[in-house]
Amino acid sequence: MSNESNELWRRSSVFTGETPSVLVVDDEPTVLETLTHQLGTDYRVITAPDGLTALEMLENGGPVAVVISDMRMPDMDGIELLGHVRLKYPDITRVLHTAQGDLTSAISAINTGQVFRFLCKPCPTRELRATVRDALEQHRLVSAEREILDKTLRGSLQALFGCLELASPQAFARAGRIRDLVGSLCGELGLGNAWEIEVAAMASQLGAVTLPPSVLEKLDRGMPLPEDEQKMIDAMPGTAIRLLGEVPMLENVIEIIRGLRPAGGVHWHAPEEADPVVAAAVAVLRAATDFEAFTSRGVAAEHAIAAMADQGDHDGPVLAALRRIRGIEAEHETVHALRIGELEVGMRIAEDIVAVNGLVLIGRGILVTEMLLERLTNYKHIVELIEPVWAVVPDAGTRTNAPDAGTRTNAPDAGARATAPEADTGTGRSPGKGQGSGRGTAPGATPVAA
Amino acid sequence: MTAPDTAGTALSIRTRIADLVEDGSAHEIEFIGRLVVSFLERAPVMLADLDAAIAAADHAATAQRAHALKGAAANLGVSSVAALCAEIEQLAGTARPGAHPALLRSALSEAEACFTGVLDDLRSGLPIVPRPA
Repeated sequence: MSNESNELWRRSSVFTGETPSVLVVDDEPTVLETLTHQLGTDYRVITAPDGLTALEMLENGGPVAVVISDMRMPDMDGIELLGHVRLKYPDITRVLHTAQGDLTSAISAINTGQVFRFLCKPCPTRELRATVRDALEQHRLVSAEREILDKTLRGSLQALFGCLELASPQAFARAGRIRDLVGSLCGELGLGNAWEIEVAAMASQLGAVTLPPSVLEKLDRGMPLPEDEQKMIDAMPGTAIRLLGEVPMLENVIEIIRGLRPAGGVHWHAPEEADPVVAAAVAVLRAATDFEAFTSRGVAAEHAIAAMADQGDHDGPVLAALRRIRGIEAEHETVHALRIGELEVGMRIAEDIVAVNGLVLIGRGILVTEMLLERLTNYKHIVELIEPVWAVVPDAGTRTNAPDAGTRTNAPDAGARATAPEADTGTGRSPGKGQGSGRGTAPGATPVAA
Repeated sequence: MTAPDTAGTALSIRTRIADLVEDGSAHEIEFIGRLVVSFLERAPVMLADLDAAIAAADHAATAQRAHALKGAAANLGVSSVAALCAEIEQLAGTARPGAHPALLRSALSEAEACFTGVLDDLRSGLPIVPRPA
């Protein structure tokens, strides 16, 4: 019996985008037809003849609220399938549909948390529908809880990084530059879960709030530090771990930060139980941080990468990705000298905006937003700002320079490149993105007068 | 070795079909008819596969094929076939003999006759489950 015949019978049901989907898995086609018939009036029922197909459907199809699986199937049994579902899609409620003789394994599956309920074959329609109703309610509860947690996490991280921005614009901008490079590297390397790595990049700089301004300035400019000051820098990851240690869902982020070894220290190895993403993330973040240090003191990108390769403690594939992203000289980017009032949304700050007393108010690399313009206006009422300020203007090559605005071009041999390709760092799909941070320009580019 | 309970199977089939009937529309009855035909067409093939596994003394295949036929039969309430298959599945690989396939054939024939009666009643609009005494 084909699926089409059953769908014809069910065509009278009207589904909306809100109609929950139930995936039923069984190697016996008439069982799939029967379950579809029993549930198809109320739910969008999709069927799979085996575990592997079911996993493919979950991977490539629309969202599923409940999976009902047969116990005994060739290749992958129901317990194994539902175990995979539990790991990969924890919000999906899992129901085991077993023959009478499989009770022992079904009870064991429930007791070990693999499944929510089990149903005996053949299952009466009333019992089946009641179970699916309960399973959907369970799915709704779990999903709602996760959503609240996601929002709380996202909001908390934004607040935390917002505090960093207020406390230390320089450190915030540096974190943003590292985060952008990490995002580009993750894209280049095809690493999933980039949000965790990018949050780790931002969070790794939280400890900067404990640094004296002089040390922060040296860090920001990639200058060598005496031993006592280097110790302060080495302690930064520890500060972040203390701040984030109790936040749920940040286990990988914490582990990544833990992996940032102190400068000159021994190699770090991911704990055996750690998520595989952690080791790759540490390699990416270390490379991005070192690259930022080099370029901040004016070292050209390709020379920085060569020096990092000479150090011998960076991952080859990460350095290769870095070379692809930043190592090739691209077209020059023009930086404009502007008065504060000439800054526009969409421009990018190319050099720190500093008050006459030396205080850095906005770090380089930051994207100009409405909020930033408002802040600058407020600053102007309080302190005198050093003008002109230097900014990268979008599509600068096609624009005519404003009167009085000087321009300068990043010269290839002057150790000053702001030519990195724009990279999609996945804004909006991950919790905790800092707002308005630098995106896409090379970290630490020091414009040179043309 | 368990002998099939003919009267029990007839009731079990009727109870199951009655449970699957939602609105009794012609479209739905047609669907149930197709479901039954699908089972009756596939069951002899599954039984032949089971015979072959038993003849080859392939215990794993015997258990797996008996399990498959058990599931298909139970799905439509054919309790006699399901029970015989359960016995074969359970005893596969042990010293004790399971149900003889000839019994399964006989149980399948009886189920087919029962399905014919149930579907006729359904199409005639007659009740398919006897009222409790």
